[in-house]
Amino acid sequence: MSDEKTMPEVRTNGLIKMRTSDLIALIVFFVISIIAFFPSVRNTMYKNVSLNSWILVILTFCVPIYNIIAAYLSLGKKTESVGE
Amino acid sequence: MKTLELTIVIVYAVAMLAIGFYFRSRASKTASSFWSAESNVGVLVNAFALLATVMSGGGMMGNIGLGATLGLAYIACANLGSGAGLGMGALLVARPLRKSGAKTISEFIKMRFPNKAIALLVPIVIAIAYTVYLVAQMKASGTVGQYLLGVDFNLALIITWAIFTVYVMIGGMLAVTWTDFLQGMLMMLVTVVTSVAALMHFGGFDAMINMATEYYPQMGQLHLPLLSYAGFFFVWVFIGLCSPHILMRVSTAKNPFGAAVSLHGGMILITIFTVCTIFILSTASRCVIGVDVPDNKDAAFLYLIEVIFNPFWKGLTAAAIFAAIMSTAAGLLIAAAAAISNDIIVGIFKPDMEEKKQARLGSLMVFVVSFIVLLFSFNPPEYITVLYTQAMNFLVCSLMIPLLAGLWWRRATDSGALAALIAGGGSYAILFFGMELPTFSEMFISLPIALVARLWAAC
Repeated sequence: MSDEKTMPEVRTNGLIKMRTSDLIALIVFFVISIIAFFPSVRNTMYKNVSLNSWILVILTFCVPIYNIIAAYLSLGKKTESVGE
Repeated sequence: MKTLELTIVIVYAVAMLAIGFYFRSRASKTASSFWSAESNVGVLVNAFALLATVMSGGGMMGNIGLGATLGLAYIACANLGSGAGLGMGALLVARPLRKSGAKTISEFIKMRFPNKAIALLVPIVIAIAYTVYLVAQMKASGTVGQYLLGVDFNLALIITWAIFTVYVMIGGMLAVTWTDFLQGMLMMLVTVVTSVAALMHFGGFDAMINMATEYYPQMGQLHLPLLSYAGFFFVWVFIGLCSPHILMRVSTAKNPFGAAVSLHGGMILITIFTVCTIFILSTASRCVIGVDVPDNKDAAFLYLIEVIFNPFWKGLTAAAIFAAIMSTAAGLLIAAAAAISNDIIVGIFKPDMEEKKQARLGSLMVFVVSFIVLLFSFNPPEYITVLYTQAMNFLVCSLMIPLLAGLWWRRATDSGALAALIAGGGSYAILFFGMELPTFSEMFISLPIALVARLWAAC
């Protein structure tokens, strides 16, 4: 069965419910990325490169890793519900 | 003229044209075949195609020039923002967009907010932003032709334009996706191998960054106004959310899970590519150019290639840069043409046009848009990355609030979306042309204005 929604349905019920974990991940992402621009962080140098750049690199790698884990877990949940 | 380098680039160009001709008959069948590659593209192909689409001539060459001359922290913000933005796109936009059944962002906004003014304004915003973005790509092609192949700037520009215009016109999204896949692989190969070679040439990262810092003490620091760095980062995060040429990839995937996995795969590739270009190749390029910055700052990477590589690798690098330019230009071109053809001409004026005629009209629009771009490209800007980021800044300020409200806020109204679109895009234009603000900081004023306008109109 298609999970596609019609536009009138979208307008009354919303398109899709955001997962709580996604919302938390979004908040964490924006908080850490804003902290990376704080003076004490951006003026700290590691290997002649600002800590800001290193934090953004780690953060950028974390986003797909989170997404892959979340997609994998939600796929597992769907398989379970089909099995039932 | 450099014969071996030129031969490699010609072989590459012929291969791209051959792909366009191969998909000719399938692309011209229906509008869906032309614009969405029959929604049947695999995960690996889509992931490399995403890399090629996001990492443009700017990513391959302009970013390295910007990093080498203004510091790697500056360009790190933009590139890492674009990687993270795709992840945000997967969380916030890709899944619901796919479930809505819309093929493009403008189609979604039009379906969600059935209002004639919105239906007209959204494609106009997209067409303006992408025309500017395309001009920046064209400068990169002229520079590569001039420095690596010994060809005249304008001639290189015209040849590049002719090749990608022909394969997009005849092959549509199918040709764009498959050429992007091959171009993405070539770009990744050249970037990784060149990075390893640069590290070996200069004796490792520590030695390289120390040498670059001696020439340019602010190499790794954030020495420009803070809002420029933060703006550069967040513009690219938000571009990942509302950029049609990136998210059109989602509509080519076989299913929603495949679309999400394509985005994650593309993100990982982009981050690896980014780390190589910013941290290694920008630094190595600064080591080669020394204290004095060249007139054409975007050519810094080409100086590095001239110094440490043989003609064969120079040819392959030139092909990879052309690949970066053409893949992004093709993606942008098809999105800009779709905006005019699908969303304005068919969507508003000729809604009952036959499918086959729509595909032909799409092909014609590809030519018209690309010709306009060519005319603007003969007088290029100083930094290509800055130019196209500003174009995308305009797009983000105009479309982000209506798009996110449409996807996630069930009480979002047509009048609210229209108010946000006009207030966001209009305030950006006023700030950009009328005020002296730190580069890229316009977004920090325009997005709140758009949000307030949206809330005010909803009251």
